[in-house]
Amino acid sequence: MEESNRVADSIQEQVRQALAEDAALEVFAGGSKSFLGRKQSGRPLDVSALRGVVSYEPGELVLVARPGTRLSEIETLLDGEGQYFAFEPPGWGEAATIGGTVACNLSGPRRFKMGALRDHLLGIEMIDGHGERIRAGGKVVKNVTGYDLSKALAGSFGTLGVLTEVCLKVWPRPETQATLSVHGLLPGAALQHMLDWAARPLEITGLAYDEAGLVARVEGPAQAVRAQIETLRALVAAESSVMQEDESRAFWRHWRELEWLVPGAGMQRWRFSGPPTRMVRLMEALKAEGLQRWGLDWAGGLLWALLPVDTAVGLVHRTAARHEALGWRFAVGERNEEAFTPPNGGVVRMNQMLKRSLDPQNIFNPGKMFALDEIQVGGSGLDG
Amino acid sequence: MNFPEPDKSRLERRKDLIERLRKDLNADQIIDSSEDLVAYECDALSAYRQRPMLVTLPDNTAQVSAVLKACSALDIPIVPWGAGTGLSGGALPREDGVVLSTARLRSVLDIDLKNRTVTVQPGVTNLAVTEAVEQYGFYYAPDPSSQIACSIGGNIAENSGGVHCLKYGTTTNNVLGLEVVLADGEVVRVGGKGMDQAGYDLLGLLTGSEGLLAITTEATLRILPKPEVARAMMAVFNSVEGAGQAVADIIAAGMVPAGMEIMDQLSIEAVEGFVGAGYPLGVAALLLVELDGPESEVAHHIGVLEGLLRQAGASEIRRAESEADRLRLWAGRKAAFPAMGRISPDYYCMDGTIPRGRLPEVLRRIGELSKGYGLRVANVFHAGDGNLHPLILYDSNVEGDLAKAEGLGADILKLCVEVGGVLSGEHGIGIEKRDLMPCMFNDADLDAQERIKACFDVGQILNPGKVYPVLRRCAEGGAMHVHGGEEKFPELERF
Ligand SMILES: Cc1cc2nc3c(=O)[nH]c(=O)nc-3n(C[C@H](O)[C@H](O)[C@H](O)COP(=O)(O)OP(=O)(O)OC[C@H]3O[C@@H](n4cnc5c(N)ncnc54)[C@H](O)[C@@H]3O)c2cc1C
Ligand SMILES: Cc1cc2nc3c(=O)[nH]c(=O)nc-3n(C[C@H](O)[C@H](O)[C@H](O)COP(=O)(O)OP(=O)(O)OC[C@H]3O[C@@H](n4cnc5c(N)ncnc54)[C@H](O)[C@@H]3O)c2cc1C
Repeated sequence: MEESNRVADSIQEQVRQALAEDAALEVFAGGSKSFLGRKQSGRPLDVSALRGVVSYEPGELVLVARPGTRLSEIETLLDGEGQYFAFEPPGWGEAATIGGTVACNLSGPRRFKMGALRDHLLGIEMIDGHGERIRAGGKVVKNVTGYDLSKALAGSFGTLGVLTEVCLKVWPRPETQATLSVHGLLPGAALQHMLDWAARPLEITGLAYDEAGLVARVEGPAQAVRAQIETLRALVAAESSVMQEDESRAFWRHWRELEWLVPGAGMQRWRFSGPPTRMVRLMEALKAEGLQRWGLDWAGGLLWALLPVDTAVGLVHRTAARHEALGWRFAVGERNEEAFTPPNGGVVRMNQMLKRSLDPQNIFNPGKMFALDEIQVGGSGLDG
Repeated sequence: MNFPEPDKSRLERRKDLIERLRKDLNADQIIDSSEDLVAYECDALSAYRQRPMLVTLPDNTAQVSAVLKACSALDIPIVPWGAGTGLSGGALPREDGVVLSTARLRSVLDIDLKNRTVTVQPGVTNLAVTEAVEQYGFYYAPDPSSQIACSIGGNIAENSGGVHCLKYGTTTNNVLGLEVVLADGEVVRVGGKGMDQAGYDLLGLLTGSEGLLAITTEATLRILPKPEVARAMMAVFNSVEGAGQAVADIIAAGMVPAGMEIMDQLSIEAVEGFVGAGYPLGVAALLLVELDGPESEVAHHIGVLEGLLRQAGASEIRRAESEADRLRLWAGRKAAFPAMGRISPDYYCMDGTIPRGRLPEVLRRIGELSKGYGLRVANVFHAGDGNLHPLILYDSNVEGDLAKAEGLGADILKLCVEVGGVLSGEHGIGIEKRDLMPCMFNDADLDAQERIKACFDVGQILNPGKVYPVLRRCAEGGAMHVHGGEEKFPELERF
């Protein structure tokens, strides 16, 4: 406790120092997700020493941890109590920390059913751009007490402040799971199945598709899982098979960690999120940009893709925007183009209001999310 | 609670304001006669009343924007108003301010079953969202007890919950997109039908912001397939603590029921006399549990649940055998607040959340406080998420009773914070709990929140005086810095 306070004090000191010198900081923990967002040139601020689980009360469904704690360590702890993070965060490397996961709002295949990380973030403590250590939210599962700043920090990529503590909702892990895989469906037909199945009152907690076929995960008590898998099986004419518990878990782990989407030479990963009905058409449109491997996740709401490194990044973002989707590029490019599809002008303005209130000197990861200075208020680079 | 003196110069600008508003609004969209303004004197926290100088009833987003621009220009505060069912005085008008009612913004704009979304205007009631899609087998999950009356705009402002929010989340977990109007009249669309937002999580920031950051003019909501079955069970316990322990056991067993509600003896008796839900009388506590999901899952869990309830010492267990039975069990719980009218001239509804494990201690101390103040307290809880609704019974005709009720309420909320909880689970801070905020947050925490307000609403015209005890402007909170001769955000206006 004292040790962690000392570390937090030292981070606060470094922030205050940076403020005094008007120097930018690059916030990082394990560095496992440094491929997300735009290039940084600030003074490195390593927060990985701020680690440890502060409290975990399974009966309250609440876990409090310092941000440098390894995601894998927390997951092992939860597993021991028969619980898990319902938002199923990908780790993308052993070094993944809970702070980095929160800062990127990373949510796995269960997202369409159980919500994103932000839906499970109950409260935070952070050091803001005034050098103050502040708290927002709470440590209980239901709360309307002031603005929900925790959510704003989720997915802020370290640009609003340094997290020093996070409080997350945890969930009982269902008794078992199984996955139905349906082989040989064309993309359009697969998407129709996804839309249809997600609209049924079933406990489907994973719905994904790639060239190997359509997969649907059901979780719950054994007899209920069996019955629902049969219900789904009866809905498809194509050939299908079932992965039982261990095989199912291993499959979704491999899927979530993107082990199936490995970029070969000259290729890079992209992630697009949008209305499920639009995503197959987006995929078709991206063929013109050299789309190679791809897959659908989140019951159709997420498209994973490999695109050439030398793709015209702006064009990809514009194509995404035309389909009401947002793209994330998984690499910091040479020319440091936009990593994320920029929002509309009004949202840009609101983002700036928020940024300015928490980090008026723009010291935290400046320009990491968007090339803010290049976007004019009243119209983003994409409109018109 | 004492209200600030109205600003005389604003009252003097009333005529100018009407003239300006008349350019964009019809005469029947501006209410200015004092007998008509009475209807807007208070929300459901009726102990506090003030008459606004005007009420506006815009028909569309452009008119909302016009009202905001006019008020910005003339420095007149605006209080957004949905259905006025709020319980924390969030919509309490100001004598020197305008009420902006969403009563005419009542259209369902889009039903998109494939993407499982519904887009509505803010004045649409919570229940109407479900009604728009139930014929297709869908529903909107957040279900505040006030759902026949309360508006989606109000739900978003208060991040409202209901008896099903342990499993399905509160409003913030069910909003995908918003159209909002900022204080200066700019219309912005945030989010959409996808599951991510570009940039910061503005939906998360706006939801629960109690009308202080922007006015909602449209909302895209996530709808869910209606569960195949829903089964409810009622268990009787000889102490509220016993019922609380049963809730802990259910969660420890790995189940997440759709709803878990506890009522104490006083509430049970009031409710039974009011709606006749079939609750047993003379018992210390009732626990209602609802399981929903696929038939095969619920069939399994309901057996496990019954065993757990018995083990936890339930003296009687009753399964709702039919859908009518199930609805009757819930009708009692959902009528708990109005039922208090039968046993007391007035009641004051509190809304704190605590870590569930502290329930026995908190109940004991509420009992002691109740004795100390000489006022009865009935208790109903959303037991699954530790959200307490102590109902303080008082009589406003008795001199000093209201002040006592306020004192007792404040002590109960401080107790919630002391054990690690929060001041509000779902009703918001409003005017009611504003001055308690420093019990939960220190100066630095509140500074950060108020700076956000100041950056979004430079002129402090959106629902000022609510939620935060002291108001400041961004420029005072944090001075602008110039970086190597360059300004960081040259496109932002200076203030
Ligand atoms: C170029 C590159 C490409 C890679 N590609 C892949 C890949 O394709 N697949 C794969 O599996 N692995 C990949 N990795 C490996 C992976 O990056 C790491 O192993 C690990 O996941 C670290 O994550 P983290 O939690 O340390 O967060 P970091 O990567 O350190 O940080 C992530 C974000 O969170 C912010 N942040 C972190 N902590 C805080 C805090 N306390 N407060 C506020 N903000 C904070 C940071 O500023 C940053 O914006 C790649 C690594 C690199 C460098
Ligand atoms: C009998 C009863 C039972 C209740 N049960 C529950 C319950 O189970 N769960 C629960 O959470 N709440 C409950 N409530 C409280 C209340 O119904 C909710 O807070 C509801 O969301 C308020 O909606 P409203 O439309 O009445 O809003 P109002 O009371 O009109 O306004 C509430 C707040 O929202 C702001 N606002 C309204 N519309 C907008 C808009 N378009 N844009 C910006 N701000 C806006 C107002 O300024 C105000 O601050 C109950 C109330 C009653 C009277």
